[in-house]
Amino acid sequence: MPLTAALHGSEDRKRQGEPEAHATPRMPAGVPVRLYLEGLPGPLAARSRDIGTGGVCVETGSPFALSSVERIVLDLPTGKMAFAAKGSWQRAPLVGDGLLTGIRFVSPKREEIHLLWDFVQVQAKECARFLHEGSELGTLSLDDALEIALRTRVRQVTAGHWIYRQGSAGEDSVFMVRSGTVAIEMRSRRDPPIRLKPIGVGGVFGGLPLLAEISHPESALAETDTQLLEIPQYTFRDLERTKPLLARCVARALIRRQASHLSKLMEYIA
Amino acid sequence: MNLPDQKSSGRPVTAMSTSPAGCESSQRFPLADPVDRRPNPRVAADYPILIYGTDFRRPLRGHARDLSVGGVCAATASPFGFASVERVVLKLPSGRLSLRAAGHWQRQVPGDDHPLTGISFSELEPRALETLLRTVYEAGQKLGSFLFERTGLWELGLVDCVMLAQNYTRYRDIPAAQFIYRQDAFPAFGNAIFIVNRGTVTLKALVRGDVDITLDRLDPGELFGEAAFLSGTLHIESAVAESRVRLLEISANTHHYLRSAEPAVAHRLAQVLIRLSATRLRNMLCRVQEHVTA
Repeated sequence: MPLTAALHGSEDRKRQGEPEAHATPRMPAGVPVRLYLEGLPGPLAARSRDIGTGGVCVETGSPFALSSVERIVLDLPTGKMAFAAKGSWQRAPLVGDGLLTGIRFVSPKREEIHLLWDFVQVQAKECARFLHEGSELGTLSLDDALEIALRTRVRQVTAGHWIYRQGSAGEDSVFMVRSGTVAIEMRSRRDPPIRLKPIGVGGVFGGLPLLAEISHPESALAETDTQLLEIPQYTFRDLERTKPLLARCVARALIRRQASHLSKLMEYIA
Repeated sequence: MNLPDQKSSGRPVTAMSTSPAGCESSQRFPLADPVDRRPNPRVAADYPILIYGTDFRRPLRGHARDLSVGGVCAATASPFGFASVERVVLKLPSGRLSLRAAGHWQRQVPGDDHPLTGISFSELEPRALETLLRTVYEAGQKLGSFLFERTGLWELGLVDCVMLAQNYTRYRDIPAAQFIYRQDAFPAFGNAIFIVNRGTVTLKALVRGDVDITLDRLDPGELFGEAAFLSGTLHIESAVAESRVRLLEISANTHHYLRSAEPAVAHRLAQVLIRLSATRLRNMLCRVQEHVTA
């Protein structure tokens, strides 16, 4: 492969959101963020998807040049924190209007890193507790819950917005409902589509394209404003490599979900 | 073949033929299936066998369901006093092989119309051992080729398919129209993955107690039972033998053993099963969607 093509390939992967391995602790967190970009008179409002001690993943409503990122201000519950920053990667989610950007902190001070550590630890505790106590993944040890938490990212979906559509295969993440409810719809000969029992807090869904490279047999719609924990494809693959039993635990939950859909759908047969 | 942890009295298990409630019988007879722990290669097999015992004057006819250099699992027409077994004659492709033997366990598997008996060999002569080894390896290679060429397990590769066949499978013969497992029920002896070796299996579901819908029809080489096996839940469908069926079975206990003995293979097997299960569930959902009308 020519060098330029190889470089472009690498760039493409980055653009598609295949980040470098997370070398620093990182936890799902949705806090307001302001991005300061070169050439832009004011800050760009954004929201974080996950925050680590080395950087942050943010969602913005509009695209911007990665190279224009100069500074970021995180509005943490403990107060605002500002960092010099650089853009690392960018990708558009397959469903929804937002754009995800990976941002790296540039030369953060030691005390800033300590504050971020504290924040990440609080998030880790909350997320791990949620996964341990409230998710359909079953009984997880604290270590396992933390391992999964490390690989998740927050996604905020407004009521009435699709998370994925039946027949599509692009949105292949695994989702867990952290707050709100998700409606599951299935098209059939019947019109309107059948709406199965909604998935509530703790429910695990999606991910079938990830498990078997097939399209979604159902559509998922945010019934209310919903916060999801998302395991994207690349972190699930990482989980498969490094923690195969945990990956299987997630896969089992997804299979149980589909089996439950099947049982519910059968009730509609005349 | 390994010996079970708990030796039973050796009396015929009278409840076997009368108790269809498998859970009940498994509780009453905590069977240590030698498939769970075995130091010797053991392969699903189908050879005629004659069983000689002190309790019966004429030899009992049966069929080997699996065979290793340590012993054999034999299917017979009826239960018998397995503790009295002292000799078996195997009718192998290479000729008859007479071996000193002892019976260790007996059980009835729901859906299978023949009781199974675990028999170990003793005082093997070098020639007999060589014959057994050759038979086991040849049968394993043949079965491994079947797994590789005809089933979704091809992704494991030929070598691991042969290894799986040689160590972790067992035949099950199911008469036509017999249920292999039932919807919304736990199988009596735990979940298992089944591979159709011969015949046809129908997967169907009973909806609201009166509508019977066919979800899939499986021919030789196809796997089933994997969703409940993976998720540890009840079966959402029933599996019925459409004709007389021969299945290859990998039980949950066997898989458990595989996980410790061959963790890499167990991991890859689980990945293949997850993929197959996800695909089957999706296909079933599509099939059911077709049945849902306005």
